[in-house]
Amino acid sequence: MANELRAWLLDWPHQPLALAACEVVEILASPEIHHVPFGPTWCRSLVVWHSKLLALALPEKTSDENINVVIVAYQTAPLAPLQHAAIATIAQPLQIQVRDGLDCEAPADCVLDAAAIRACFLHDERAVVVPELKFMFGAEIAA
Amino acid sequence: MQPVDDLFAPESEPVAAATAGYVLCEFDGLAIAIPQSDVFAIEHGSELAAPLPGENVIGWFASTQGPWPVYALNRSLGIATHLSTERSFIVFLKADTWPLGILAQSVRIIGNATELTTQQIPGPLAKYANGINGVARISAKQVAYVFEQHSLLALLTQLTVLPEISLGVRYG
Repeated sequence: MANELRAWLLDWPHQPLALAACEVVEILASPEIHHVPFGPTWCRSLVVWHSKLLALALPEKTSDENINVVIVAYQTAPLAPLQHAAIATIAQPLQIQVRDGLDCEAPADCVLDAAAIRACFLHDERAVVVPELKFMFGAEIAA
Repeated sequence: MQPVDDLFAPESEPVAAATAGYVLCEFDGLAIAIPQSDVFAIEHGSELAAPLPGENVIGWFASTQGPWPVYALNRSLGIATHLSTERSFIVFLKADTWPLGILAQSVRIIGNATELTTQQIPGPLAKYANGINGVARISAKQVAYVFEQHSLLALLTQLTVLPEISLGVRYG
């Protein structure tokens, strides 16, 4: 029997992403976004969440009107405190079932560093990247 | 306007309480927070002498001790060589030889550092922060980039070749 896992599909402007259900904390419909004059091209914004400013993966020159912001949680190591970050999506995130056997190569033009890509699979004929959040949002690895 | 800490009048005592907070400078929609302890004086920048060809200052302030260089930062926190909007204030930073000025459209004193809720620059942006030590939300529309002691001077030093040769021309 084929294994299936439930995941969140995020319509990230650069590249569709998929996250485990436990990695998605909240979806903000009216986010307070601040653009920042420095950072990697895919992350030059901050979003306010519970009085904190979180890194927001929002590609440069993407309009922030009508976007949703997905608050994500990750740990840098087992038993380490939860860290939070945010990913902008154009459409509302969807829950999908991911089956075995759909692995594929990450797109060559993916903006994420190789270390930040945990896996990649095909969904509706598109490559969907599963990011390794601790490397995507960690200070040491960001491209 | 009185200097925050008058380096040229050793008989005057700096006021400890006046150096405990930040000076918030705004320009081109950006806000930076500079420790008060780094600030020598705040002046109006009504008349600046024009730079000589090749100088990367925006102008020279005629102080009683001679000309002091004044810089402008742009929206990317780099050196601006011309201004799109008027900036009326100069915040002078303490430095080894002469104070260095930064032009601002507005200046506000935050007397107590705790009034600014500063946090670290979040992970993927941190390595690009270039001397900025933290970020603080100051309104629904704005965050301030917070420099800690000596950091803004270090950034300016990195961004510019300080105009020693040019000052030699002016003083010589």
